[in-house]
Amino acid sequence: MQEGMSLSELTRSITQDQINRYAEVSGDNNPVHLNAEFANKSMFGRIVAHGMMVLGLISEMLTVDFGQDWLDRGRLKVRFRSPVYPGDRVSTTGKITAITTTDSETKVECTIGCINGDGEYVITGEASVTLNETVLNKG
Amino acid sequence: MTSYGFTSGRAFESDQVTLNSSVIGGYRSVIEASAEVYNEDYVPTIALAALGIRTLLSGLGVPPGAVHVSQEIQSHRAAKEGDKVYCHGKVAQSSRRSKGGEIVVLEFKVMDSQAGLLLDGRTTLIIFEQE
Repeated sequence: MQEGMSLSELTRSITQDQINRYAEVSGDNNPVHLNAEFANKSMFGRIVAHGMMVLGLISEMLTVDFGQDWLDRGRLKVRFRSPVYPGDRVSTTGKITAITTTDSETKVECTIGCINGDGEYVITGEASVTLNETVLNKG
Repeated sequence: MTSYGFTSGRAFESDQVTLNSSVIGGYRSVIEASAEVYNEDYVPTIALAALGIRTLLSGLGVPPGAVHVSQEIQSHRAAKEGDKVYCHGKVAQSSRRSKGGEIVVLEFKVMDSQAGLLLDGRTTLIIFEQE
């Protein structure tokens, strides 16, 4: 693990079924995600995916790369820049920007994001995670 | 005071809920999560955060059509399936937009049954005026 290294890219196709299931488990039943008639009159013009569902892909990327350290000591800050629509294919992006080690901890900082099929960033932000030393030796 | 009554400092708390495997499995299924750590029944960060946000949305009675603008999340300790948790949410900031509607900044905490902090977050929403 070193500065400049890319994180594991995850790619998913977003479907209305996924959006419906996310609404069910999260309790976020905002009609802009579920009701075409409502969504058509919204600023988006049609149904959009939950931002948190798409953010879940970024968090999954960080879980794949940092394991329990991400779940125990991860931090992220993102902006939802563009909507994701059913039928879109999205991919996560991430790059390590800094690794700082002190007597008590090693902290990894990253840029994170998610792009749609047109290469447009739908989410951008930053993440950091404080590591167990063993993870640093994975390569 | 603002038009929707999202006054800074307004706070609310959820009932204690159990992170049951059917709901957490539902999250993992939606995200198609496959990280090895889930073999040990750990709960995805976003599943915990969504629980906190759910407390905010239901506590505030956010009107339909609200747009999620930004999100901050910090994990303090991983949760496992079967854990009992509860959430605390509050309105951190609320202001009118020049373009209409309101920007509302909300903060939440997810805690275990011993009041140990598992995760906290900050959510920014734009809430539009209803016709």
